[in-house]
Amino acid sequence: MAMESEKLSILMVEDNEDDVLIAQRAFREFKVISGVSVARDGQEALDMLSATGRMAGQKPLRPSLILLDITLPLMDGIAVLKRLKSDAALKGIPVVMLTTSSRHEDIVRSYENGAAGYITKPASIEEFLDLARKFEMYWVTVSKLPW
Amino acid sequence: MKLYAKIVTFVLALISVALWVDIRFTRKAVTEAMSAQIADAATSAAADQTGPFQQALSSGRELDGIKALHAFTQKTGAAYAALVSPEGVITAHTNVALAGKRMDDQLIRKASRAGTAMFRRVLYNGEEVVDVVIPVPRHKRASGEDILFEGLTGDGGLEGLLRAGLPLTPAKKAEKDIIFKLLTLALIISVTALALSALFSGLILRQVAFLGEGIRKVRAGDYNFSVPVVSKDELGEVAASFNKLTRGLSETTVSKEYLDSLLESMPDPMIITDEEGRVLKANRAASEFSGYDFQPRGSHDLKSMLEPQAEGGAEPFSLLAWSGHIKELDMWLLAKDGRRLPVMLSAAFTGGEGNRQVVMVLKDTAQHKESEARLALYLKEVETVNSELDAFAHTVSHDLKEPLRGIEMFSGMLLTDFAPKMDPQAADYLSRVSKASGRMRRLIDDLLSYARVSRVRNPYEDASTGKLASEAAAGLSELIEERKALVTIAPDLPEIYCDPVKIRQVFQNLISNALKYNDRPRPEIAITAEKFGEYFWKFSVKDNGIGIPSQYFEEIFKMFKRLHSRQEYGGGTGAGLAIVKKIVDEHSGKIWVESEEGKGSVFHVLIPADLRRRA
Repeated sequence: MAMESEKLSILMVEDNEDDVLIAQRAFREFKVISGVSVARDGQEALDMLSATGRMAGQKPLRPSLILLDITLPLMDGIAVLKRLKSDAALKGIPVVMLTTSSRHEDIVRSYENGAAGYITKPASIEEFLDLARKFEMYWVTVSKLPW
Repeated sequence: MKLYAKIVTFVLALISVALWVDIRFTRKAVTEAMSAQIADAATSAAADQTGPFQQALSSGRELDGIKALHAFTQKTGAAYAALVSPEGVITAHTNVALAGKRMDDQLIRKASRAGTAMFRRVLYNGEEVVDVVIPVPRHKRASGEDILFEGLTGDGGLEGLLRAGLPLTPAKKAEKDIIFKLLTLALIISVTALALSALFSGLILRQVAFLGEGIRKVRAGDYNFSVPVVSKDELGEVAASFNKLTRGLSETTVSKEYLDSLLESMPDPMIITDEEGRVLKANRAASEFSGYDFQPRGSHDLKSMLEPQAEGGAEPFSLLAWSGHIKELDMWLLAKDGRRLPVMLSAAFTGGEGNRQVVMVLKDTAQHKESEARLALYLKEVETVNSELDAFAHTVSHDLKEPLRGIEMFSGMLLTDFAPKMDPQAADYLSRVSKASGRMRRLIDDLLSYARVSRVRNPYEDASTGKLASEAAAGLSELIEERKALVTIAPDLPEIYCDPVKIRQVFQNLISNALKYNDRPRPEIAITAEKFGEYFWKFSVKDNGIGIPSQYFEEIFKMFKRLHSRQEYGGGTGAGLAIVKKIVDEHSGKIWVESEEGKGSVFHVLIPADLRRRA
């Protein structure tokens, strides 16, 4: 049994309500994930992390991991990734891309800009559950995170 | 007609010579025959007077001699007559002054030696006479004939000789007669000959006249004139040959009028200039095109009307002088109204040394340029539409996928979380929704992959096909293990210039198909390659699967074409081979299948060994 301190908190940047629901449902199985915060677009995610804009005055969010979609309104995922990695306070947070795209160039651009991983959204709930299991195994049991 | 005159002259000359020779010989023959006859007559007349002559000679009495001579001359018409003693002394003479004189010449000696009459022709007082010497025998005989022939054999002695000059007048008359007849005959022959030669030469000359007419026509440019062949002789042959020649000429030779009309009828402007560029001749198209009439000859300078289209382009006449000809040079022609007309200029020299001319053909390229531009525009449009279509397909498929994922996900979640609480019928329906949406998603994925083939262009490189095939097989290792299949890749697969990502997909799809459509416990797949002609490699993927009916050999390469129900053979969507074909097409290759139902199939893929070499 993992310790409380080792539990993961996740920020999910995702505009698709369905995907949010599915992800929340999938991660619900696992006790090691303390909570899933959701940002609907890139700007909201940055505001939450830096306590700016609509989030001004609030405590900046410090998730163990960011799940970032690529197709987002206004600012796409790669642009958000660039902003995160150019911010000294945020660049230590591992960012894992979670997207429907399996385009080679998207994968390449993500890693080039500092993504820690790239996952294509599974098509069925079984696969999604399986993915969540593997994800937890990797990020909680295998990898060490800065905090 | 000159020929006729020649023929007439020739015939007349021939007749004249013949006549002259004829008359000459005739005269001689007539005179000689007549002389002999006269001598004979004189001899027989002398025989009648033999008695008196013998008496006069033996007695030597001149008077008796003159009497006998008178009787003789009266009978014979002799111009003179004389009796001569064997010693050559004149006993009596019609010219009494000569009596007692000697008369001893060759004729007398010959006659007295021979004892026969001898004669010759002499002129006597300006008249031709037969001078005859007749021996007078010593004894009288029964007849003159005996005297003549037996005188010698008689007692052989001669009483003397009779000499007489007998005029040739009757002979001359006969001669004139004969010559008159000859001349008449000659005249008749001449007239006949002339008439005949006129007839024949007329026949000959008619053919010649026709030939002359023919030559005049041909010289005037009429090659269709045919000379009538009126004789079957050498001239007729000449006429026939002439006709053959003109026929040949009419087929091969072009007249000036024909050339001119040809030049005029040319739709492209054509201009002939001298070496300095002065216009000598221009066809109608040239005048209409440029607006200049180019008259009079040599007054227009073409050099000043042409301008190269290319910056710093060469002046056409110097280019022509340098290279001998110009082919399709883009130029501007400055028209009379000031417009600059785009033309394509071709030019060459014609004519010989000292009279060199330049033939120039201008092609109006305005239309050509316009259609070229239009074509480029269309091409660009097609490219735009194509890429838009690809982008559209990609976007549509992508956007279609999102809600579909939702359906699939939530039906799955429903089943996972609530199936135990659900009516089994409801659960069944729900699982059907889930499966149908899953299938829809796969179709869209395949459509996306198909669209990706042309949308994504990976860099071409020299890639080892052996390595690509191995990678493809490795990507299918799970399926291969599951099917307990044996995949063999020949070690000698070549290196080709290609899009390696796509060629890998070709191998992958073909291997995957070979595995799927195979119901043997141990599928066998063999990948080989061999050189196909000079430019191609032929790759073959052979399996021992279920095979394909021959009527579907073409069909299978069409998008979403399936030969089996969705439940059989792994339920593919039918995009795999369509994608393979698209990739092969993109590589300028070719794909086809050989198959026997129940035994297996071989997919053959032709790919150029090096696409760069063909480009």
